[in-house]
Amino acid sequence: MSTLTQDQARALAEDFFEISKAVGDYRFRHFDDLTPDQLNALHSLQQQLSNQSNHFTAVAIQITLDDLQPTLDKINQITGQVNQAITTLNNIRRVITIATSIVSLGAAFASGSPGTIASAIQDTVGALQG
Amino acid sequence: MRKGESVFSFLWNFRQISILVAAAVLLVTVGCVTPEAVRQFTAVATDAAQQFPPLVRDLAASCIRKQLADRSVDEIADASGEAKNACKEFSDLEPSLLGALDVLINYLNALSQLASDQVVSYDTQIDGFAAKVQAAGKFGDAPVNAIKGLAKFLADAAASGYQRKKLGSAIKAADSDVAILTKALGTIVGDDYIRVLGVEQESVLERFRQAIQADKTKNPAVHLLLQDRWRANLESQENRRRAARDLQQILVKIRDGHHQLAAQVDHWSAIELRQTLSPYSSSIRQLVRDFQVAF
Repeated sequence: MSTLTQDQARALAEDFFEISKAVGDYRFRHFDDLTPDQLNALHSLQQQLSNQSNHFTAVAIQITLDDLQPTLDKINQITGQVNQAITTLNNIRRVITIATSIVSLGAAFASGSPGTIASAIQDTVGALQG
Repeated sequence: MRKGESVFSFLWNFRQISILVAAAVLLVTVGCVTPEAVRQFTAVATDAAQQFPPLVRDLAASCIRKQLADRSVDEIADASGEAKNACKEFSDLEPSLLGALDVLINYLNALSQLASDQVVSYDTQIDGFAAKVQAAGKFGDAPVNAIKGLAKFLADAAASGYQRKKLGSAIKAADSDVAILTKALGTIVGDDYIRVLGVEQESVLERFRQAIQADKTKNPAVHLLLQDRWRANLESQENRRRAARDLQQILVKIRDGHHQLAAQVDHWSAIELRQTLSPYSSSIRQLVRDFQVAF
């Protein structure tokens, strides 16, 4: 048996829902004419039909999600590229921070003060580790 | 010549060349997609898309309410486990459905972040850099300000150009897929969910009919109470349906707004782009407010 398409599953869900409503309306209109057994049978039938409608709706959603997979993969891939661009732009910020710490390091060496040099080295290492 | 002055002189010549380079960069990027308009639209669209999860979860919840409404009116028992089992198909769908929604939210959010001013602003870092240069080289204010101005100018031009190029290429590349995804989600929300609500409502209606018909005394007080409960139920259902239609419209606006961006990404001015996207953003905001009445 060939598999359903999402449109076919939706059409079935809609059909079962309409038939279920029709059974319910019939049962209500002829309530006084029907025997309790007939009423119960129609009630049960109505419930089964509406459950079938929900089943086909769930099937339609599942098929839709399956069909969407290549689309989702493509959007995920593009999102990855956009995030990569954000990372690149943030890396520029990091490069400037590293350059700033290296300038400080140069000045510290020029000063000849061991304490200043040690502190500047620590800052530079921190900037490089980001 | 003092050390600071020679550096300044070098930088001054470098600045003239750099201005030409930067001007060329700006010419290349002029008329490209305007980040602020994109940021505003995608930020609104992201917020709107984040409203979906309660509705997605209500698919299974509606099915459970239907199962409970199908139970006999004189039953006093905890049937919730049985009802949940009968709706497993819907609860099993939730993670995939929320996952598909996340793909859209993550994409819009990434675009919004890339379009943000902050991502291309290096002012604080450059100020810090200039201060260090000043301290290290004992430069005066003039050369340091020149370094700062030049660095900011170049960084802005380069970063903005890169930002616009990446925004433009992403929006164009994703446009047809965004259309497919929003259409599919719109069908699930606007057709499938509304049908599931309809099925639930039929079961609830049947329950009220049974209760009315079971009352052989035709007691008006009982009928009045049942009628009030039925009306309250109807109103709650109508709110949910309206919310679903709002969400379907939001998806249409996201799709159309995104398509306008993609179509005009290479040649619209900032004002035109904002004018084009503004109605989409406003409609989405209004629809989200309406949607929040039910969820």
